[in-house]
Amino acid sequence: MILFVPIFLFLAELFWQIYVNYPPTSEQLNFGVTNYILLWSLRIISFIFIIGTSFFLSKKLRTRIKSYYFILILICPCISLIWMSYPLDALKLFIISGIFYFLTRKNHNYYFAVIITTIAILSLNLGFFNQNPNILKIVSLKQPQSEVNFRFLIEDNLNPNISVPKTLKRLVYNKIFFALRDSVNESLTFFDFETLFFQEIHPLGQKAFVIFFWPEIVIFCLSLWLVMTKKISSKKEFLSILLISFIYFITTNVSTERRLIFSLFPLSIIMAECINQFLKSRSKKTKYGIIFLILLTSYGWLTNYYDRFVRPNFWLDNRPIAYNFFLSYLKTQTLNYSQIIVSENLSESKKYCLFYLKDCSLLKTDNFDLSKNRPNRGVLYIGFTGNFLGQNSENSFPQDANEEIKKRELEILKKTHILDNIANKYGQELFIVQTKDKQ
Amino acid sequence: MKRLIFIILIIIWIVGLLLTRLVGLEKSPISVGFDEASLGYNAYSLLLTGKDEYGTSYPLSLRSFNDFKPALYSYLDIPFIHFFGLNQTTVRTPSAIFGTLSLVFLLLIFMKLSKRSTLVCVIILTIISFFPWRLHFSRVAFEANISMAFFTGVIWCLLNFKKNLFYKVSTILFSVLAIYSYHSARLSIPILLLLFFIDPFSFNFKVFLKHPFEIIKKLWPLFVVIILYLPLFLEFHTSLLLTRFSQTNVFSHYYPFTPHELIYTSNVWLNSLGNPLYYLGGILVGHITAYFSPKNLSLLIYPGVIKSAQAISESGMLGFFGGLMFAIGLVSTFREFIQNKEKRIIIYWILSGIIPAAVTWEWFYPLRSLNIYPSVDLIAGFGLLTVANYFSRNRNMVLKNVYFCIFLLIAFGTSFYNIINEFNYGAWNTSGEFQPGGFKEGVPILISLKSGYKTIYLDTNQAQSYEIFWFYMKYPPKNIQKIAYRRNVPGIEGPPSINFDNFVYKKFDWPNDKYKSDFIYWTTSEVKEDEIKSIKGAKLYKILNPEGNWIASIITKK
Repeated sequence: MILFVPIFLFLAELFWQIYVNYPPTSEQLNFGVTNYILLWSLRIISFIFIIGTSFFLSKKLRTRIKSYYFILILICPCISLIWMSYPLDALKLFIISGIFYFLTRKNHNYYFAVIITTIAILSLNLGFFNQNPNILKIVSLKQPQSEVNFRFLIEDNLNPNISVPKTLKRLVYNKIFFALRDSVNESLTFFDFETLFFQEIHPLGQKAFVIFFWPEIVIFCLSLWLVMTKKISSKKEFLSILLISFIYFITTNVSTERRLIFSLFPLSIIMAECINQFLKSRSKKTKYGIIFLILLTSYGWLTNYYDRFVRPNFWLDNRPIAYNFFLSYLKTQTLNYSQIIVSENLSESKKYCLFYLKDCSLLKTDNFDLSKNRPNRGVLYIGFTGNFLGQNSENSFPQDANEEIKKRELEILKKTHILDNIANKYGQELFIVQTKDKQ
Repeated sequence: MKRLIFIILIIIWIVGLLLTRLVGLEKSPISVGFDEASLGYNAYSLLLTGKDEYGTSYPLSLRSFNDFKPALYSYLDIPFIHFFGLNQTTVRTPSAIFGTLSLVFLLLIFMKLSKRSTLVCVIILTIISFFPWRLHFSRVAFEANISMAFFTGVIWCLLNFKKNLFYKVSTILFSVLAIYSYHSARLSIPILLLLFFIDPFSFNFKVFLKHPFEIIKKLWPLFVVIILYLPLFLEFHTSLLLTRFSQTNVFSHYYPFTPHELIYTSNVWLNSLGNPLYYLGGILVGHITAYFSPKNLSLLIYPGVIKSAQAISESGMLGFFGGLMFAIGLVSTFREFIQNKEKRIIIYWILSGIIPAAVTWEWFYPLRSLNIYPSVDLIAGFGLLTVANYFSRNRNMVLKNVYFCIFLLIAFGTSFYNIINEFNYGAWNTSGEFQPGGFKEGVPILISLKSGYKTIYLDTNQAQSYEIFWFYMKYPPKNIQKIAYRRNVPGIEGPPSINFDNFVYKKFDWPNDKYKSDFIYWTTSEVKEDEIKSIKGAKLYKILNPEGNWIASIITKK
């Protein structure tokens, strides 16, 4: 019975993705995706990578624990996001976990496995995937050097100030100490409970997919208690994978939830162990307690699933949505324009165009400003409010922007509101516009 | 003899800690914020007239900005103001003294719980005493800081409660003082006493049902504290005393908890998907766990904290080193906290201190949970011990000593960094946020000019700036008490501005104001030097902040 739950979860996520019909991301287009068949093939391959990763990292778990572990992985909405949009992340996870799996399959020297996997992560992130993580700037001492200089400048010019001899200050105001400070600070961001467990109610309004639902933090705390007090079979594996996920975190430079995605696996391992042990417990209180938490987590999944149907644009990156908006429109029209000028804020228009249209020769990206220049006849303009009324440093535009645009001899063919601020200083309304006397 | 040397060394240690908290208070933090000004000015008013700024005789709570601040801080401040006058140093001195006192209590607690030699404990406590929050909160006038010191005292007394009567009486005394010094202790002290005497980890419900009075009898200190708590309620109407809670509670701030787009029933509580209870549960659990996050404890993240007096320059409460030691301490000693009956008090300490913060709307707001920070320090202290133990296991003596030296170098280097960060960089970095610029530098000019003009216009974007003016001008409290009837009634937050004597709040409007005469203008708005100079009889005084920036202006016109 329990084995059907992962299948159900996969089908539910598949249904949501079909319903939302999210356009391809820039990363998917880089893979050469030019139509929906290729797009969905890539998504299914990414899903297989994710399942492969989960399998590689769970080899030591017993069957029942493995079922809980797979359920915990599959209820995570962030996993759905990865296989829907980020094939490179899925591939990276697959390669890293594969290396770890093959190194620990017969040889139980986890130190060696962690070292080799770390080297693999560094080669992948810093070499092959060309990431430029913050830790690199710190270790290269460039950033600490400028921070030290800045501090001396500020403190020397402060009047009045509490005088501290320069030679004494030099003991700690030096690039080595600042590099140490910055590296520890950077490492401590790994313990980001808010992104890991409270994305549904994130205190800083950070927009990211949910990794764990908030009731799972209670299960996680109980799991930590188990790890620290009891002997559990997967302790070594958990600690090794946690260390790998930390290395993965500090050497990547993408959104926080994508940096933290590897942590999903070790945390799910100990949470699955915890659920299993508590469900086996003789104490009724413990058993009912964990069942309550499981039910609360299921409710969290259900609520979030519903939420993703109601507010897909809130959860998803809005850039592909913006491209989809105007390119889908162009696909349905007869394009008898001399040129189609797209705002430079949508700089990847040409790349996206190949997915929607056969001929993209008319398309040109330009930082046009029709508040300063007259629009050309026979040209189709696609841009944000700021492209038509002039940019605003506070990103604030009049409510009647439509009327303002119409006053400038322009006809609005279609418009939409983009929830995210993807074009700062240009507003969040995206317009498709042509001159009134087109000919 | 040995004992005498030991006592002398401990006294030197305490004096040293106190000095790092007192030195340069006139220069850093640069100037007082409105809450500090209010505490200082009310102490000044009590000293001169026996009444607060509203004319209430010897109150237990100060109405202040209608937030009913506990008055104990101001009373403790009176002797310093009496002997050294009303200034930045005297208003901050009680905080510095009690910040140091809390370290003495913490040393005693750490010695008792860690069972290590005094020397080891003193070294660890010296490192802890320079954690960023330890320095910062002792160099700014916070009522919460003295409440934290009393709260730590309660913990020390509870650890020795069974020893003799002295500790029993001290428990009650410190509990009452903590309650009378800051809002959050009013909730956390009763919870702490309840948890400590009931001890939920070894509580047997069946025994309780058989002999309920045996357990209730154990709770006598709690009942005594509650009785001594009552005068607070008798002084003001209960609802007024709860004003601060009604202004800050989580329930009214986040209602209806569920995102609006997900509400599909007229009664939000009947929403089957996205029920408000689910989100409220998440908010409360999130508030609690936020205080254990090494990230939150080490880094400065939340805008509400960054722009307040709690802001420590480029650092969270513990800083990078403290945060790391906290994480190590939590992992290494977590088990002992539950299994060791004596160490269990740390759990009760954290729980009781966190609850007031959990029910207020801010996700992470150290000031409201300040009572838990000594326990956080304690955990970091255990982290330091764990690292030291790890090094001491090394059989190679040379390597062992090298490791120790490097570790101590980093620990004390960080302490020194924290000191200079707080002294100078902090003064620069947080200036203009909680330390509004211009008042301290400009008020002496204003005082020298004010007698020659009919009206003094005030225009600043700083809320409740009148209190800062009164503070730096040492304005006669009697004049302020006379206008108390004009101020907002309790229950409404304090107004951003109040006119007093010939001081009138008015937005700077030079195109029209230039035609008026016989006035002084104090303004933080943008002033064009040429425009002022072009008007006959007008004179401009530029006020520069310590960074050398033109931050405010005084314009006079006869």
